[in-house]
Amino acid sequence: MSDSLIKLEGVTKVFLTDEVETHALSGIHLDIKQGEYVSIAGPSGCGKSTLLSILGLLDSPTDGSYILNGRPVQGLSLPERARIRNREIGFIFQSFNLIGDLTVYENVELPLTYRGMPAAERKAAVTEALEKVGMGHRAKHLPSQLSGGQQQRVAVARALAGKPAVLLADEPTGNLDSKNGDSVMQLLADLHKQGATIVMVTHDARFARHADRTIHIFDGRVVQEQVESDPTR
Amino acid sequence: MLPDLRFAFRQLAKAPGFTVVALLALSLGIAACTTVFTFYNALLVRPLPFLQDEASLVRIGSSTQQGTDSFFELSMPDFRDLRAQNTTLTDLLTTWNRTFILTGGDQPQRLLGAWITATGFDTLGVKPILGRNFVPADAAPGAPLVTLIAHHVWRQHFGGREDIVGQTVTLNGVPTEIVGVMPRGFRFPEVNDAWQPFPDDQETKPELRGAHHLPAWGRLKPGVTLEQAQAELATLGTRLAAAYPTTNAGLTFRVFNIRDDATRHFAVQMQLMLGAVIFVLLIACGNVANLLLARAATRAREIALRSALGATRGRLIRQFLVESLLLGAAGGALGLVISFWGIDAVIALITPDETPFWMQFDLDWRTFLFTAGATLAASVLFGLAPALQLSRPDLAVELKEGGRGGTASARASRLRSSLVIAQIALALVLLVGAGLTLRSFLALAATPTGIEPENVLTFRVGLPPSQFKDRSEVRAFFDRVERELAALPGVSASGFISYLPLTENNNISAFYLEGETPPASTQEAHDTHNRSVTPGALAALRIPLLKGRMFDANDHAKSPHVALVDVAFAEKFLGGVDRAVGRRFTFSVGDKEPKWNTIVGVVGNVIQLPGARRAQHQVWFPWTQSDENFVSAVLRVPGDPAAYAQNVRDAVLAARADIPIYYIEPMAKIAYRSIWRPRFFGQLFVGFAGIALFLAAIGIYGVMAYNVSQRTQEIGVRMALGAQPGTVVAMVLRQGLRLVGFGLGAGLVASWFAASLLAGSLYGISPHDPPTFAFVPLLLAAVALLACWLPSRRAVRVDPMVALRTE
Ligand SMILES: Nc1ncnc2c1ncn2[C@@H]1O[C@H](COP(=O)(O)OP(=O)(O)O)[C@@H](O)[C@H]1O
Ligand SMILES: [Mg+2]
Repeated sequence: MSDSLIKLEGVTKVFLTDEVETHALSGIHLDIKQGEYVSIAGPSGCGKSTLLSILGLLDSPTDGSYILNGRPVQGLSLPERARIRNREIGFIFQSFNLIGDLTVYENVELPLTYRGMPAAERKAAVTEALEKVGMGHRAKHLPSQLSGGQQQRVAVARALAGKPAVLLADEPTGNLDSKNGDSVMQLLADLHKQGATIVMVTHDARFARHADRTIHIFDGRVVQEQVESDPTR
Repeated sequence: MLPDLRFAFRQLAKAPGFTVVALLALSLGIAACTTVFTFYNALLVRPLPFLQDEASLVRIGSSTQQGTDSFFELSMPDFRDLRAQNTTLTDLLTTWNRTFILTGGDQPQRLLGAWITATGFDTLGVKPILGRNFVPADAAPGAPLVTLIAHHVWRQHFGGREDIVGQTVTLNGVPTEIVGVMPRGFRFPEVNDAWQPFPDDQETKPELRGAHHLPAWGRLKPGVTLEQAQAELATLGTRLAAAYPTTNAGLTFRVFNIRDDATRHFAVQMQLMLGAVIFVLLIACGNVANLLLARAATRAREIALRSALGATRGRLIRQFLVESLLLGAAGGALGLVISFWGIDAVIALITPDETPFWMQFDLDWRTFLFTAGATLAASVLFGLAPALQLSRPDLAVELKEGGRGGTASARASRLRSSLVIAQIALALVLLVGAGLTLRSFLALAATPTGIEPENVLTFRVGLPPSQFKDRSEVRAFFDRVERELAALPGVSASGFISYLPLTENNNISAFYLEGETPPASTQEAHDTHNRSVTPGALAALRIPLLKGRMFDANDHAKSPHVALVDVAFAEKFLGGVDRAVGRRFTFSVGDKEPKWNTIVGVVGNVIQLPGARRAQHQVWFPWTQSDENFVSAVLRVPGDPAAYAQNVRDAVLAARADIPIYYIEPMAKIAYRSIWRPRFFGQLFVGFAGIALFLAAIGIYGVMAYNVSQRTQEIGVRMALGAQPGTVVAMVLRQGLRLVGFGLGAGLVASWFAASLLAGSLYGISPHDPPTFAFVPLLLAAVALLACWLPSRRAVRVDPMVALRTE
């Protein structure tokens, strides 16, 4: 399994709140290969976002191991984890999470700035990413001047710009109407075709069709893995 | 209105953290204002107690024609001439403090008495509560001696007996009838205990025209202005100068309103203090306004909803003002309570044991009115900004699902930033003022006084001249006391001095040197402080002899008159310390046959009063060649001087059982008191600047913490995108530092101008003192940095998971 990008073994996540233990994830095994498009489905509260946040190094598992790109990532320091997030992971959020005071261009540039990339390289990368999502003509706009669908495209560009190993998307269409949602999904599908590895949380079966594989989670456990036979492919 | 009020109550109760911080800031600001206003009111606003129609009461004194700020007392001949010749005043009065020794109890008691011209109390408009005022006949030669006593003397020494009037008591060995008791607290001119009529046959000798020691007051005739009285006195001054050129050439008279005169040493400082606490209150208002703005942001949706339901702008503003008025009322009430402690604390800082009778620091309706007014103004001030801000909600933004109010919050954020900048600037102005006052005080305290006050006990004792007319009896008494004191165990040096240095008491006389052309008038002569002293007193105070010889047994009443001069005198008039001994000078300006004093030695400089603007050189005469009736004794003792109080009291009682000693104080206490006023205003200023710094720090902290909390989502996103913790802290700090930078810049400019207001009350430093202007902004910057840094730490603890959450 040399081309395995993400490998979870026995990952457990327990939240302790007011002496109540919530077992958000229990014994998750997961193997995602380079270039795969995986969707994660399941009812609300089953642990999808928790799984994604562990994959994205926003949170650490209570137990189990996580190997990203061949490197174990448990027990890394905060600055190290920040560095990995910055280089290896591209996030796409349900509520877009563009920074309101920054222009479209600056939003996309942000992760590159954190990487300390020289300005000329940044400009090339930002322009390329914005072109890819079809937002090149809106570079100087503020997020508040864009529609929801446009904002999510910019967010995708931001996730792409740093050429991460994997794109993580948590309900990327949750705040969009179906027309805008469809077009963002199409964008992700296109990116996948160009070779991007994508892990996407969705509860919408229609969108799960785009993925190579859908992992169904219930109550913190993987209950079913289903390989899509997408007629469009 | 009532539903508004009820809603306002609920709002405050719902956010206890907000309410507590807002009340803390506000009540501190109000308490500072009320405290200072209580003193400001007592000194500068409310009518002086007891005195009738204060506006027409004036203080009259002498002055040189050139020196607009020179002011010294009248001589009796000048007083009599002014009284007889003026047409603008109904009457003039004067007082002369005299020691009254009351005997007849188990111990002799010293009262601070005064002679007052017989119609004086009538002119002031004060009547005794028992008995009668003096009448002119009481002052006539041969009239029976009569006395008025102060209320507290009546209570303490005479048990408050109703039948006191008509009783005869013994004062200075002479029986006198008590004809009345003055109202409680009345101790004119300052802290006096008893009064006798100024005898018509006292101070009548014409040569006393140059002895300026009588404070005078008068009352303007109805319709006469101060300027008219001033003009007439100037004319009379010219007339007297022509008639008596030796004493009066170059002299004129000045007249001031009684309060302007009484408060001239601290009126400016009081105004500065009031300005300072108003700054404190403004800073507090900034805090509350910012808290309200922050809280209002969390209510943006409620307000938008009210608007959508049809509330008008006026209706919304009213709701906000009711809330801020409610907050203000609570803060004002709390501040008033805190100010009770503040007033006590300030009174405790006032070092003199007794303050003049007219300074009464109780609260009156003016204080309450001021506090209410300040509270109301503050409430409107801090309530209005958020009210106007919020009553214009952007409905489309606020009510949109998930809306985060982009433009409205940008406007509010600018307002919050401006408030913090203003707070920092105001705090800097206060801190610079405090720094300057403190540095000035330290410079003053570091000025060498020329004496070593530690381990020295002092007291005052004397034989009233009316009772002891025989010089040899006086001399025998003091000789005996001097021996008794020297014999006390442990006393290493002791002696007498006519007036202690480092007090307001002084004696300045005109003189000229042998070889100089005799001046035609005292105005053309030099002048110098002068005191008489025993060698033991100089030794006790450790004033060193630098040249020549000390007084000795050969300097007695019959021998040629000698004197010591200090270094300052030698350098100013004699061409240096080495050229002083053997020179002669005289005080007999205008005399055909002057009495010469030969300088036999030079001693170290002694400061008369730290910070005094006039030249401080002086001459010392031997005690044996002067005829003082009252002296200050000084004794150098081992250990705590206060422990010797009973010993010296017994020693003097051994010499005479009917003579009390008083003002028993360590010299160190007198030295400490000599700079009490700059210390007092320094302490106040530093205290208020400290409160300002604290409030400004809270303000910065609050705004930064709020900014961080507002930016939680953004910070989380940045961290999810891989921002390093240090980058996030730096980002937040940068935002804070920008505010601090702007605040310091504005504050420095303002301080530069405001410092000039202090110019008149600074000693030894410039109002633009570089160390102050360098250090104080650094201090404020350091505190501000800390106030920014604490909330920025919170930014690092933001969980990047928030990026995944949807509101
Ligand atoms: N920070 C947290 N603290 C406590 N419990 C949490 C936390 N985050 C998630 N949970 C709980 O873990 C479970 C899984 O949540 P989540 O992963 O967000 O579900 P979803 O599948 O809807 O994304 C839920 O029961 C949720 O309440
Ligand atoms: Mg979720």
